[in-house]
Amino acid sequence: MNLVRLHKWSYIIMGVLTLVMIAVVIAASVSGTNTLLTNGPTVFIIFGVYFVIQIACLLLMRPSLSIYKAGFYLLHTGVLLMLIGLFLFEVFGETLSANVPENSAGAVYTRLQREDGSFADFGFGIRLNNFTVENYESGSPKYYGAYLGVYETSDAGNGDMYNSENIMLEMNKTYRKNGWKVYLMSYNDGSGALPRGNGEYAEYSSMGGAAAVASIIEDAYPDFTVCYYVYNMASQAYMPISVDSASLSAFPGKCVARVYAEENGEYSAYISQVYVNLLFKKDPGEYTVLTGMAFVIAGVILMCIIRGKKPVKYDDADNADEAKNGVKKANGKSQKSAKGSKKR
Amino acid sequence: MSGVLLKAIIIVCAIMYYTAFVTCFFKNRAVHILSLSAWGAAFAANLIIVVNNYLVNGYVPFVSMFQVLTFLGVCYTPIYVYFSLFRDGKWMRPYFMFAPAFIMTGLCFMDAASVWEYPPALQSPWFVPHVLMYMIAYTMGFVAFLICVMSLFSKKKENKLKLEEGAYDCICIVFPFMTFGMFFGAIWANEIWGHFWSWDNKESWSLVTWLTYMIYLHFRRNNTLKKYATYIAMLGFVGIIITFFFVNMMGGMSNHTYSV
Repeated sequence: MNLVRLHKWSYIIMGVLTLVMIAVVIAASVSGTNTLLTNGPTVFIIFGVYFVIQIACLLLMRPSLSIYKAGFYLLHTGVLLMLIGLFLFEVFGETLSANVPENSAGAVYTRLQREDGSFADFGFGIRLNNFTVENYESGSPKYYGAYLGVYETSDAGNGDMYNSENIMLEMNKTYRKNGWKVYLMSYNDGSGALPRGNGEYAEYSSMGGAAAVASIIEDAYPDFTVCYYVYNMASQAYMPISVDSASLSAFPGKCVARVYAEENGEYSAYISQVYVNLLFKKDPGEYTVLTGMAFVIAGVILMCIIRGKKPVKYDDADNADEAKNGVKKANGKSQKSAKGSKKR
Repeated sequence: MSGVLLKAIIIVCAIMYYTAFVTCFFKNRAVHILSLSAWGAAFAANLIIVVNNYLVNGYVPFVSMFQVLTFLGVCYTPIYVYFSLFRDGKWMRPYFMFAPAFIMTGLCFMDAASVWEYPPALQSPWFVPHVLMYMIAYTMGFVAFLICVMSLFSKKKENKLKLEEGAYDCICIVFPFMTFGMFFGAIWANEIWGHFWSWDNKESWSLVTWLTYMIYLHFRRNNTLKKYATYIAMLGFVGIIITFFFVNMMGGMSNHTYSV
């Protein structure tokens, strides 16, 4: 099979792949689920074939000195780099998340458990010192930020950790250390309780944790039975809890509660730990993807904007280039007829 | 600026754009000057709305659909100036006049409230470049679509070829700017959500649109397939409409729900 025919086949395969990709995206969009794209092998198969096609394109294109060709090489190399970067993340990267309660004793996160039960060590520790949130009048957030303490193991060899720095983590502002990137994803400031029918409520907070908050509530409502619900960070739901000190002390750090008056004269207290949801990500392919993007951007500028100043006439630029290099001749046609077709 | 006044300016702006469009076909010098004057007035009115949105909000007015559409309308005139100066695109003037007129007509029926909340997710340096790149791409996408429609109805071969070349020239701007917008969005997503791509509805449809224009560019380079390129370009614009409007209206699994 000669180069010209191979080139046309690469067009056809890429076109079919693109149509498959479009069909998959539309199917996912209509069905309302994107598991086909995120969990299934579909995307990897498509990306894998794309990868091969990109390499074929790069190998098949005859090298020559032109802005268009330079753009072609940059663009397709960029796509290759991006695919390599994505594969690197899938093979060697990982993302883990943790709900980190505010200011709780001993809550320095140095590692997190993976789904398979093994642990990922960060090589440093994170602790939530403070969390601030500002809301618009409508109640939607205007700003939120987590003031984190970063801890490192001391050189003394006794395993003690010391506070090496304090950082402000915000949305759109991440923190990098030891190959990990830390993101502030979401938060719980204790304002998630649903209002009751007759809805009178008061808020209580304490740095002493759920036990301290329960104590304040009991003092405020000596004549009524108070039912306690504590927000479970793992299941992300309020769950009823007994008022014994052992149960309540399992929720240390800063806690806030909302107390609702029930219609039967009893009270329900919804206690939440203030916490932030942090995402820890290790992505060895990140810079490869970014480099690929830079290549693609440069390639597209050269191919479309700079070269596109003069609109392409009705000739096949690929064939014209190949004709120059005598490829047409190898295909059994004379170079002269190839040039003739270019003029047409 | 009150809502009523804002609405009045939008209506005046739409009328001016339409006046410019209708009168641009006349060869009489006085009518030609009237066309250009109406266009200038429409652009100025459009700019006033954008500046008002900026002043009221205190940040770049890209948060709501209303703000984005008013900005989209203002993009056409400067891009036409660039096209007429550097890309031999003077003949495209009617298309650059009709497109913002059409957008302003749509704005007449929208809620003109210009005060919107600015959520923390949007407070990023990538926000403006991401939206701006897409705005330029969508601006040219609409013009390319109009030219493609005209090329379908054109019976003279020379005229048809000219229109197809014009559409190609427009898409040579659409595709790079769409690429920039998509990549800037991906970089931003990596900074805020921890991944470059999440396959939400808006992202998926923007990829479909990008792939459609990519097919168009490949078809243009193939002698056998280039006769279908016009249809592909039109499909690309359908992709823009779905990405820009329908995905937001459908809601569901999208992280891009700010501009409903």
